[in-house]
Amino acid sequence: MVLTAIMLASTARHGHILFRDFVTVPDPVINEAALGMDGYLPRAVPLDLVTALIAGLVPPAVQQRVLLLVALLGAGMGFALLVRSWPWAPPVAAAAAIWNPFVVERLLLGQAPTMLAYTTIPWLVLAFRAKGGLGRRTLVLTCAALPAALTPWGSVATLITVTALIAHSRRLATGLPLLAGPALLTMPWLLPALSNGVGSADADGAVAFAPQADAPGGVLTSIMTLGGIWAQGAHLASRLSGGPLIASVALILLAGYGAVRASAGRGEVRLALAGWSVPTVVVLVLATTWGQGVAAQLQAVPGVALIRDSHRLLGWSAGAVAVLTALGASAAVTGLRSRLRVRAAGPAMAVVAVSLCALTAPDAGARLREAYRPTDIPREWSQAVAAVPSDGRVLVLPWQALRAPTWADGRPFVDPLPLAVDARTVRSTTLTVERGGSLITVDDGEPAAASRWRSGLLEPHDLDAHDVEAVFIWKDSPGEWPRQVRGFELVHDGPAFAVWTRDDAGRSGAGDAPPSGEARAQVTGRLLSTLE
Amino acid sequence: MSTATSGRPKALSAVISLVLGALAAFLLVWALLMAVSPDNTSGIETSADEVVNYGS
Repeated sequence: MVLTAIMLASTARHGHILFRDFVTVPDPVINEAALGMDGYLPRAVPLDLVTALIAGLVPPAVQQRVLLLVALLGAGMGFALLVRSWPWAPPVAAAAAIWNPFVVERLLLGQAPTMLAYTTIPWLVLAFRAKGGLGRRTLVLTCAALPAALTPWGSVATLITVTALIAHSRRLATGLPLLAGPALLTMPWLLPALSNGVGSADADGAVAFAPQADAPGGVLTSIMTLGGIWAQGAHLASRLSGGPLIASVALILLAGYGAVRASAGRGEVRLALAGWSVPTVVVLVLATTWGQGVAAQLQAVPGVALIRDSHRLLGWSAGAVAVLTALGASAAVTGLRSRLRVRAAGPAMAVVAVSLCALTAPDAGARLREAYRPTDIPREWSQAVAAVPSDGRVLVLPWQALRAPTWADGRPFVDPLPLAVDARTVRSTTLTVERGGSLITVDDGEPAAASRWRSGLLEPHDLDAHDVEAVFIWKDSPGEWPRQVRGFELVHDGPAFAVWTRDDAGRSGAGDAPPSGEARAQVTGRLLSTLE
Repeated sequence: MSTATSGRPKALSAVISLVLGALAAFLLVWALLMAVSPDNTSGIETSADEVVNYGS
C-alpha cells in the first residue's frame, strides 16, 4: 500500500487523468465506439461501455482512480497470497509485483486497463486451485477473469494463462471446460471486430512496437530486467545508470536462489520458472530483426496485432520473478535463522528485498506522479461536445492521434472525443515512430484524404465522401487546422475548441482556407518547447 | 573448549545481524529518498517519439 501510495499520490487531486492511452471524459456516452462498432480496432471494448454504463453511479474520474488502485493493489495482494505459506515471502512478492520496470513502463504508456491482465494472473492461479465441481470452478475462474476482460488484450491474456494452468495440471479432460468462461469474455470485442471486418493491422507495427533498449547492455539486458518497452517516452532515465541494473541483477539472483531452494518436488516453482522463461524468450526473439520480420508478416492475421507490442508479454515474467524473488528471500531467512541463528533475519531480509525492488526503478514514483497528475478539463468542453450533432460523422482535427493541449501542460493523450459524442468520429490513429534513423508510420487504415487533413486542408469532396456533418477542432493542441470551413457554420468558438457544423447549403458547396503560417509556427514552437 | 566453540557462532551471528541490519537500513533510506524525490529524472530526453509523432 505504501508503494502504491507513492506511485499514485498525485491522483488524490481533483480532476480527470488524461495521459497517453488513459483518458476519460466527464459524460461518456454509449455509442458505436463504446460497442466496438465504429470501424476502428476495438482497443477499449468493453471498457468504454462499462465506463459509460456506470458513469451515473460512479463518476468517470473516480472510476479512473479505482482502476489504478485495483491494478496495483490487486497485483500486490494476489502475488502475496500465492506465497502466503512461506515466511516473510508475502511482503516481498507484493513489492516485487507492484514496483518493477514492467509495471512502471506500462503505466507510463497509460495502459492501466491492460495492466489488469497482469493483475489477474495470481487470482486466476488461486481460482484454478479452487475446490468444487466443474460449474463452481468455472464460475470462480470467470469471476477472477472479469477485470482483465475489460480490454481485448486482457481477455486473450486470461485465456493464455488458464490454458497454461490446464497444461501444467495435465488434466486436459477436466481442465478444458474451464476455458468456457474466459472464452465467453472475449465475445464483447471479438464479435464486433468480426462483424466490422476489422482485424488485420499495419505490418509496420511489428517493427515500430518492438522492444527497445532502455538499460545498459542493450535490448537483452532491458528485457531480462523487465523493461524495454517500445516508447521512449515511457522509458525510465534511471535505468540507464548502474544502480538499478545492480538492484535488478540482485533480485534475479535472489529469484534464482529461490528457484533452486524451493524446486524439490514443487510443481508451482516449475510453473513460475516456465512463466518467467517462456515469455522472456518469446519477447527476445520478437526483438530480433528476424523476429520482427516474422511478426510483420503475421500482422495480416486478424488478432495478431494484439501482441505487436510484445513487451506486454513480460507481464507473466514479472509475476514469476515476483514469486521467485519472494521464495528466495524466504529461503534466505530460513537459512540465516537455522544455520547462523540470526534472529532478526526475517524483517531485515524483507526490508532488503523490498528496497531492492524500489531501486530497480528509483524514479518511478516521480515519473508516475507527474504523468497521472489530474487535469481540469475546460468547462468549455461540455458546450463544444453539445454542439456536435448526433447524426452524420464528426471529423476531429488536427489530424493527429494524440492531443497535447496547453491546459493539460502539454502532456500527450489519446483523443477522448469518441467517448463523448453520439456521432461516429473520423479521426487519425496513426503513430509515427523513429527506428534506426528512419521514420515508421503505423497506419491501420487511414483514408485517402488523411494527408490533406493533416495539413489542415478540407476539400468538400473529402467531407462528402466521409459523410462529415461536423468538424471538431482542438485549437491549442499541436497540428494544423483550418480557420474557415466553407459550407459549414461555426457553432462553437472558444479558446480551446471550435465546432463547425454543415449549414443548409453546405454539401459539396465549398472548400476551405489553409492554415496561417503564423499559427503553424506557434503550435510547432510551443510543442518543441514543451518537450525539450 | 566448549566456551570457544559456542562463542564463535554467537559472534558470527551478531556480526551478520549487524551487517544485515545496516544493509537493510541503508537500502530502505536510499529507496525511500529516491521514491519520494520529485527531481531525479532530469537530464535524459525521453520524449522523442512524441516529437516524431507530431511531425510538421
